[in-house]
Amino acid sequence: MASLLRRRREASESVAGTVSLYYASDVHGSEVCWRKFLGAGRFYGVDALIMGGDLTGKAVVPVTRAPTGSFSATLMREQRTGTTPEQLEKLLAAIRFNGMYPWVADEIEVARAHNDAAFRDDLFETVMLDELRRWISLADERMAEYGIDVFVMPGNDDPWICDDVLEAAAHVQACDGRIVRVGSHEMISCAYSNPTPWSSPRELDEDALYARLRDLTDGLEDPASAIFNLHVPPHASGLDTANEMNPDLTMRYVGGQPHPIPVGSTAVRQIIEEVQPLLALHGHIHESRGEVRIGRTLAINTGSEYNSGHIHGAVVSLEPDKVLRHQFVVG
Amino acid sequence: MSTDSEPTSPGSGLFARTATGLVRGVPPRSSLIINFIPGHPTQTMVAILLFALAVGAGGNPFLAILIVIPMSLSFSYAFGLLTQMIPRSGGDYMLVSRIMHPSIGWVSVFCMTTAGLLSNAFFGIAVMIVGIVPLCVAVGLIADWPGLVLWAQEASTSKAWLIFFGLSMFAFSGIIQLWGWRTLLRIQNIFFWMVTASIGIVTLVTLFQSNGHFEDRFNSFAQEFTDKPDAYQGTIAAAVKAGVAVDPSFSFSATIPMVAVFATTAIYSYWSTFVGGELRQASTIKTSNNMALGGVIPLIIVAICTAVFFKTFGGDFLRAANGGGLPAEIQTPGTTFFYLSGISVGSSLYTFVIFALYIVFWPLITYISTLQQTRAIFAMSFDGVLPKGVTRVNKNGCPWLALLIALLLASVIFIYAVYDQTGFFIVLAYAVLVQLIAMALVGLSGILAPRLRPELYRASASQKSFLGIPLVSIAGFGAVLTGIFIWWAYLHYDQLGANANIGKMLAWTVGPAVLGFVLYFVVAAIRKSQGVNVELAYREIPPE
Repeated sequence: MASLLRRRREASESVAGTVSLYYASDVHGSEVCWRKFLGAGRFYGVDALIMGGDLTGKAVVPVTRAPTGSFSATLMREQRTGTTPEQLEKLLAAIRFNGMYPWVADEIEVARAHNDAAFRDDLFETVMLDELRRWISLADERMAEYGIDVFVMPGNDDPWICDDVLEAAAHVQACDGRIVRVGSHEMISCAYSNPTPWSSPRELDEDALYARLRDLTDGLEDPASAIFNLHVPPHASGLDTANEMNPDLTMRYVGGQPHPIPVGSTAVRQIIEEVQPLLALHGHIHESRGEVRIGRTLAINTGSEYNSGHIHGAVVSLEPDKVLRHQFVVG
Repeated sequence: MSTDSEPTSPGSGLFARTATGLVRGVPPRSSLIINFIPGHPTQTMVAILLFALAVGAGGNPFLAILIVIPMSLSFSYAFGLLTQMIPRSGGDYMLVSRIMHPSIGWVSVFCMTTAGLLSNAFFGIAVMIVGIVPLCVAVGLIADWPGLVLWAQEASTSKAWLIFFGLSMFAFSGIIQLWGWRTLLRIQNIFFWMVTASIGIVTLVTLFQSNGHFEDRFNSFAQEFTDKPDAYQGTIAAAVKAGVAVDPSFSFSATIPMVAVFATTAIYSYWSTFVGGELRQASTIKTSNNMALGGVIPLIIVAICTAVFFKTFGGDFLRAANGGGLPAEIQTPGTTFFYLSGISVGSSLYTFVIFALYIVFWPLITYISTLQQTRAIFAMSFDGVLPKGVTRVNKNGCPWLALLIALLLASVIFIYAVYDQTGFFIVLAYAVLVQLIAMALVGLSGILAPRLRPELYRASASQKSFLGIPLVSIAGFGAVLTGIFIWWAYLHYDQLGANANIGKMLAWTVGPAVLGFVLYFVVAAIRKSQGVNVELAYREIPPE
């Protein structure tokens, strides 16, 4: 506690006009990562938290409950069983820890979910929204109390129904597609990505993505001191290397091995090169964590390993006209 | 669309929606090969088995191998279960610093890196001394090319040739990594199968030859050089005269140093931990099982090969040849089994092929060894304790600067080793001991992980127990015990060479550990003065 207070004090003693922020992205339904994201505010003594998108999980794990009260589920290809409420709680926590949604149901309902696509889609929507509401509610309650600004946008993987939950938040600021202020810096945010093999909900071709970004940057008063919070990283920047996929979502092999290629957005790269903001924050490509200078702009991809319970992030301190310091952290 | 969900395969037990996927580069098959290589049976047969027979006269190599198996499994499961919990690149550094404390992580990485650099230097020498030289001598003798034999004999004592071939191999193992995982894994797998084919061919050919056939071929081969009709029995007689026990009676106490010797190559099958962040299915039990298989399968193959070679060449003859009984005119340094197989077949082409297939082991093991140093440098840089510049990767995703640093350091130690070979081979024994410090710290992390990181443990596929005790703790305990045992053996048995100079031994083993511990706090203080608190990189954020 003493060290936390000390760090907070150190932060508040920083140079006037300096703002410190913690950025993370791609928590993909991991409750522990979301809670750590919120905890990062006080832990690192920052003024603002920025979540760069892809909030929702990718999988529902059915926990089949028998009439006797016993239950079973398969997690990480391991069979887990139990009989007591305490064991069930531990299992649900383990599922959430890995960024998946637990769903407790009887055998008949689980079988129906297996066979009925519409039922399964409804199930996904329900568990996703329930979880997101809980997350935002927690953030509203705690971060308002601590006086830490929280900026959240969805990512290309997040369904549109998430936007209503973010817009309805009290303290959390939904920032996608608008200009907000982080300290003295303007920040634009964009949840869209360029096309992916998965055809996720928020994708635009490069021309449309550029037009959208240009609309946003045209509204900036001081582009040189701005922060770009863009989910997809710039093309061929070293922040966007991923293995190539076939249209059928299988991995493309060349010579019997996976084929790494740059998959970032040319539109994002172009807008950064043209506007030269102070800082560009990215996620999307989990395995391409790193930093690069594009002209004067420091571009960062914090990557993600949400299913290990560790949140990858960056603590950045900004003066009005420069990045004072930045540090990758894993919490 | 992202909400278009689908039931996945029955084994996965979940419903997945279509969403952007995380793709890692190293498939389980390749990770199994990575784990297999440090204990590859070819290396054990070439460099370890005969040493084990020499230090444990009367010991039973099969019993020794049997005893080593649970030791190997302890390390495999300690590293594997922890890697499943923390599937990130960096190996022991990542595991120890995250489970215990960053300063202990620094102790571990300094010990592991010291051992890795010393090993690389050894590989630089080995490619010449037990690779190119015996190839040329064996082919030269069998094909009757005295010029080739003469060149090899001269080259084996030439520092210039040693340095040329050693540095060339370092350069080659670095260049193949610059091409990225795609090409690298292809080369790795080709080389792996070449080395495996070499031992496979030699073993199969030897299996179908009788002891009488070999004795006849050996005698007729040796007669050309010695003019003696029965060099086979002459070899045994010469060794007996020199005091070598060629047919000793069984002794369990003599088996113990053999265990220590086998353990020096058989307990490193955790190597894929260093690329944990690049493994596919790293969070599943496949990670541990691949490490276990990578340790146990080579030991089984070594046992089979040993039985076959003893049958055909004769145990007493092998001990005699290993004890210096071979006539001077037909001596080769090391690789005895390949040489004898060449004589037994009587074909220079066959001899060349099996040697050529085997020699690629040395660049292969050098590349595998550098994975530890490059990934540790990379992980430490991301933690903010090394300059960010070393994280530079080329367009193929290879951390080229970290690789260059690792190979330059290895080259410096290699050149020192060339100029001080006698002292260096004792230092090599220290490499085993210093590496065991790091491995025991990982074992200790395994013991403590369920207690210190309960959430992480419970949510992982490592949550397995035996009689109510977490498997990772049992494996960790076994790893610590094994580390203590091997240390004890090296201190107790003079013939293992490590206890001749205790002060020097402590400098090479405890020295890096102390240096790592102290340097952590020095670096932390320097970075703090620059406004960066490195402890933050290691600390877990308390969840709200």
